[in-house]
Amino acid sequence: MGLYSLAVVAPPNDPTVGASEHASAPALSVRGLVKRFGKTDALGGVELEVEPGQLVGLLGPNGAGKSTLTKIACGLVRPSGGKVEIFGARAGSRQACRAIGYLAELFRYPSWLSADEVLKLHQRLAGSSGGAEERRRLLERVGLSAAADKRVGAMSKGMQQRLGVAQALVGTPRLLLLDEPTSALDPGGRRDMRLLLEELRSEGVAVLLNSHLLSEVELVCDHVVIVDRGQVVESGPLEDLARPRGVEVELEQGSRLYEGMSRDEVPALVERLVAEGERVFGVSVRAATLEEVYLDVVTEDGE
Amino acid sequence: MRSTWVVFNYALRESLRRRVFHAGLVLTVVFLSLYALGCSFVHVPESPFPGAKVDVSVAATILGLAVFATYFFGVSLAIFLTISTVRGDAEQGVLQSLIVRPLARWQFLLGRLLAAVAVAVVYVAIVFTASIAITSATLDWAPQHALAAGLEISAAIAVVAVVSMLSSVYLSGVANGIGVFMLFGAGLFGGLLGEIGDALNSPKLEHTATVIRYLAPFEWLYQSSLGRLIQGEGGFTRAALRLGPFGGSINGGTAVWLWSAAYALVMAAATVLAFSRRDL
Repeated sequence: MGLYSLAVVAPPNDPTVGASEHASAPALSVRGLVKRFGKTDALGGVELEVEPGQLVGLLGPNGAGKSTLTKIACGLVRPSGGKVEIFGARAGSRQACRAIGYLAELFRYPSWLSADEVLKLHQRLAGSSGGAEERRRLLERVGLSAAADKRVGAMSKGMQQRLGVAQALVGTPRLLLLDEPTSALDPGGRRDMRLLLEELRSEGVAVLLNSHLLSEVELVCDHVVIVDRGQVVESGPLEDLARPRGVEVELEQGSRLYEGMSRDEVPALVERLVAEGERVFGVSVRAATLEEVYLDVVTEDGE
Repeated sequence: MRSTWVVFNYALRESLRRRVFHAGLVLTVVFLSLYALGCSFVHVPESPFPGAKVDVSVAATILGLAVFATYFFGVSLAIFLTISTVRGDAEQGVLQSLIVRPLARWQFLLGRLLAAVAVAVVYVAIVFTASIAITSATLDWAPQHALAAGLEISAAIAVVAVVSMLSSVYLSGVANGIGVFMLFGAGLFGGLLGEIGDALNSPKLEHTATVIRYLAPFEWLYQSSLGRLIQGEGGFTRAALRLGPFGGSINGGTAVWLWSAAYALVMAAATVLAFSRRDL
């Protein structure tokens, strides 16, 4: 379990936050986090740090503790031990709550409210002074401009999920905690979500994206944390995790993988194969996909 | 208090938009119509002996039944508006997005409770007033201490709402509704025991009824409100009324208010404590 510490990127402008807080405190800091539900250890000493402007994918099998970790960061679940801070403030405190936006995996808004009314309610609770302009902008951002007056009860699941994302963005949060935010979206919606997340990253917003969709995480996240059985089993920048797996050579009999071999060794390998009378049709250097990395660490731990 | 006000407004609108509230309104109109029809058919017999105010006995007895119906409707409404406040709404995924906002959990509970009590109390005030108006118009009698009786019925409903909110932290919506209705029924049972104990002159039964009154002070408030309705009557009329649906009536005095207030405060504090420790 390694400390997940990443480069600092300039956070968005926020006059309510002191300069020292901007300069030093990570968006999310998790230290030795333990959570027990009765005799079950849901989290066993998790260490995690997310800096402003980072888009971090949180991966893991069902029951690994991802949602529990996210909920503790939101203040919905009390930790049994350890420390969780949002921009230096204790998770669950008012100061921490002011800095976050959260979309739960299981969520429901009252069916009798319109999309605009849902956002208005959250604006009032968040103390946002954005008014109608902020609501218009958020609905536009998630592609629901035409549905501002539509009742939640008349919306499809995908539209409700878009509304959920807009709700999470009320009050210009500096840390976004998203728990399976694309589970009800179609491919177009998922692409829109990726673009939105990239925009947010460029604005300096930190995002913790809890997802089962490895391909989605691979496309949008620059850092990944894999959790299994309440422990961080792998973490780091995506390019570091995509370690070389070897060289694949296409021969007359089919493809053959030379594991552990690097790009530098390709000329010698081809020379040797030709000398042995093989006919080489193609050579490619293989790197582990996120799925392979994931299955490696999760399976190993599971076994 | 701004956050509490926001939650109050939200919960108030939610309460008024619930189907159960609309269905309740329709049933209430049906009830009041039938009550008015029943009152108009009432035949008041001649007084069997001088001094017996039979007309008052008849009118008060019928009003007593209407007050019980009002109490039952008010309690039902208070329960329906609070049964899912915590666990029920959390299981539905409604609660989480609200709780992560910068507001204390006690502010959320307070806003929800005030809204539920406001809706239930206004409802009770309207039905109670309408019942008295119908009784007065058709049977030419109105209780002298109607306001005090109405306040005690309203307080009883507020206490039920607090109890329902506390158990909503632990129980899901349906289980909580059943549990609180059983407690309400236990209170009524206590009142019945007290009535039987009074008729049989059984100190044990009366003692049991007293214990239940303390455990379920909403029943005590209800009995006290019944007592208020016949407070102005005496002699044979009062005795006759106590034999009827007012048998459970008592004079609660200030004790019932003090105990009920303390009970509600302890319950509210327990709710805040339980909710603050609850994982969502």
